[in-house]
Amino acid sequence: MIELRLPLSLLNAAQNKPMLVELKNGETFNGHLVNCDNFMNITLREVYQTNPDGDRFWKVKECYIRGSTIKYLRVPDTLLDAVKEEQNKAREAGRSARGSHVSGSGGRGMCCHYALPCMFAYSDEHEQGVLPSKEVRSNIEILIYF
Amino acid sequence: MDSLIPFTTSGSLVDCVDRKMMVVLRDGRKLIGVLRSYDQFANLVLEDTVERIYHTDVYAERWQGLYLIRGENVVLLGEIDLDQEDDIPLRQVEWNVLEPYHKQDIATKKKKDEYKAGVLYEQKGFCKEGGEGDGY
Repeated sequence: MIELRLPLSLLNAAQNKPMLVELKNGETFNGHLVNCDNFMNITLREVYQTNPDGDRFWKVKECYIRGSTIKYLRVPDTLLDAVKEEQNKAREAGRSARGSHVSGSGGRGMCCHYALPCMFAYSDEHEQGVLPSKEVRSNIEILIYF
Repeated sequence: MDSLIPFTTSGSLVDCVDRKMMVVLRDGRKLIGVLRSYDQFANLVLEDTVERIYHTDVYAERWQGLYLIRGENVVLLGEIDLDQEDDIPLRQVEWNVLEPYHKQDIATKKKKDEYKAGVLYEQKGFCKEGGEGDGY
């Protein structure tokens, strides 16, 4: 199965979940994610802040962290499975609603417009420098979900 | 498909997805995990991650879980060959045993790099680092 979920969509799915954020300067923030955006700016609540040396602590009710200062985020391991479940359910619901009609990439979730260029490069139609035929495209779309 | 290889996206990580990877971060950390996804900034999702530290002929591991790493902090990604993975000529020990040695190594390296940067600045006219604090 080709997984095309973006890292930021994982972050969006982590709303209200606990997580650890480490900044570039080594400070860590343990809290629950309130909201996030495409720049990775996040707001957390019930936060325990630790300094880089690990010897000073603060409890902060709410904080905002600018995405550009983040080194990484650690999230609960169960989150990946939960997100896969949600995406499968959404996909099933979408497909049954539409039946066999092959629609454009818009209805398929945010990942497709990144996926199609890659798929395009691997299709046999590439040598002509044109978009793959409708058949190939629908086969590619099937590939994306299987 | 082989003839298309020169024309495929050169900066693509699609061949690395669902593979065990070692990621080196700018602070010097080495994380080993399964790459699950990436985006145009090379932000990474790493599953079942372990952090590994080395000292002379010894290493230690610590399980860390699911990581979302911001792309700009990554130095490199390397695929781990599952067949050769266990042929390491190093001994594994407990994390808390090795950690003080590792911290010492980092401190020594930092001092050495600072001294080097100082000499290059004074004698050769190199610029001093802008405080990015790269530890790799």
